[in-house]
Amino acid sequence: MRISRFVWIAVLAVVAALVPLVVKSPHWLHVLDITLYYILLTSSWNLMMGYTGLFSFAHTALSAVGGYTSGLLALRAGIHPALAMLAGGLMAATASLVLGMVSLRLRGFYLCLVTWAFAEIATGILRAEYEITGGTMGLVVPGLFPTGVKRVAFYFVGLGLVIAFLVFMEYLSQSRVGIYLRSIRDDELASEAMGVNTTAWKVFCFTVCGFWAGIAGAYYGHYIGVVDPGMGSLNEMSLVILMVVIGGIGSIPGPVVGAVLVVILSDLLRGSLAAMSMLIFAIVMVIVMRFFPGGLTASLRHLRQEVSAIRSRSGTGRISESHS
Amino acid sequence: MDSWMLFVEVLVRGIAMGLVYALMGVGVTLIFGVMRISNFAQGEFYMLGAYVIFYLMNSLSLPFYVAVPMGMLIIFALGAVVEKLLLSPIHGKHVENAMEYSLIITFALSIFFQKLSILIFGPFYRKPPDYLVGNVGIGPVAIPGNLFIAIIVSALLILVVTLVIGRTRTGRAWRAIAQSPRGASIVGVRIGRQGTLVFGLSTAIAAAAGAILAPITLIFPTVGSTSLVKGYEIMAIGGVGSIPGSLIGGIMLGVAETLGSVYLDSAYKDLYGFALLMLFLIFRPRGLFGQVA
Repeated sequence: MRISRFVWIAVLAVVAALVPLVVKSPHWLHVLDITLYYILLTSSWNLMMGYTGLFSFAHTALSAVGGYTSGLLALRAGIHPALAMLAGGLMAATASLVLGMVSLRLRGFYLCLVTWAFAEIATGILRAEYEITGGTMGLVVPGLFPTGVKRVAFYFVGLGLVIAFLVFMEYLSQSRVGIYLRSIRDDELASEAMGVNTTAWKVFCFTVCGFWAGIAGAYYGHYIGVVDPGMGSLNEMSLVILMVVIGGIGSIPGPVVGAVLVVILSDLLRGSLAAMSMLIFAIVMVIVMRFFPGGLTASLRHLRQEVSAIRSRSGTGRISESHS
Repeated sequence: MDSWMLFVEVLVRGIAMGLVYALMGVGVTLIFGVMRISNFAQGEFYMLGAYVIFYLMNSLSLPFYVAVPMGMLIIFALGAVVEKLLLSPIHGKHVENAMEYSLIITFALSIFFQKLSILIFGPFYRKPPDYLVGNVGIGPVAIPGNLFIAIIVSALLILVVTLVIGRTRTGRAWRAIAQSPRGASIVGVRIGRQGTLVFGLSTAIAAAAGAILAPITLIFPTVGSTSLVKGYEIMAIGGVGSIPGSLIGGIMLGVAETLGSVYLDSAYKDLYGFALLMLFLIFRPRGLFGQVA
């Protein structure tokens, strides 16, 4: 366990905790709260896609499952939203577990199709069963805090969830399990031959990611006060993919950076440029994929290596000799 | 007696729609079967094709049978350029994971074309002129003239694609690539060039499908998403790379949808296809006619 790898999370936590001291406007606090929701989604999707190589379109649908479960429990059964959120996470984890078990044999594009079908069926049911779910209009659910509590409170709840997930990710990536998951991504057959129980770890990955997607959806629902089927749409999924691609697939800070950038930029572009923002993001996504695979974080890392290489070359002659 | 007539009518309708769906399936399965590229922007080429052919007919007042081949050529060129610029790296060793790369790139392209067409064409519904006014009687049931034309064009195009794949040198090269890209390139098939060709053809087929269904579904910037969905559902049912599979899959889908929406809950109409897709992928991933991967 290398403690130094956790330092950036600690720094991030401290800086993020200080942000509300500077940012006072309700609008920007709202943007930050939404950002935290997307960070939870992107980071957990990254665990599926970037770490284990499981391309899933079901992630935002699982978030909707979590949001609706939590919302309905709080609304109809009167359970406290904090407990309901946990139930939402567990429900989404169960759904994801089942999805993972039935699609175990599938890889790559086929998995992508099955998860897509799952997402469409799940949101389709949410739309059709309007007597329970409120249909397309959505469902008004109770807030996590009594009305009147400021957005700052939600910010700290979201921040706590994000930091918890990042610590979990960093811990996981350094553990044996992290190596198992990456080996499944790089070569499932070889990894199985080495004695990794690929089936079990893939299902594990589905369940864990489903849980966090559900928690994210529940957080969103109890913050906004409304859950609707649009939460699980392909549109939302494309936002998540966009953020992860721009930030950097497979790195832990990447999805965080991507989510922050995209949410804040699209807020700045709103208004007359609203129609343009997705267009611009799509162009950026194509360019990043084509010319800067690994996204922003990988490019930055690459740049730093480049700079230090130039420095060492222009330094003592001996190093440059040993390099050549 | 009446309920029996209704059943026959629904069945014929379903088969007719299925034949047109089959064309969407052929477009998708062609590029995936040969090059293993999953084109998420297929629906957007369908949409662009519908728009291009609509404008060719409306602004240049070209007849239907000239506008469709011309529109297909234009979309073919667009598809070829897209493939050359963005997808060609997967033929080399530049890309680590070709599947993931093509998936994400085409996904981004689909967002791009969709938003671009909202800017250019506006968020309106457009209706091209009827291709054939009135109904055409097939046995005891009458089907709309537009649907009739769509079936004819669809059947014709599927026949052409089948002949190209089965009877020409190019088609043989494609079959070789589908079996083994490395083997094909050893015996002299230029993977890069054939990849561009197949991609162009599959987008041109999507464009044709978009045009022939335009009077029925109308044209709007997000019209393509349905065709993308249908295409992949058909591919999953019929099996990857199989043209007969696409035909059967398309008809099955068409019948399942029309029967389902009449006899079952129509709120779930769009979900029957997804349920079929999921069942097939889980229990029979190679579809009805596909090869064992």
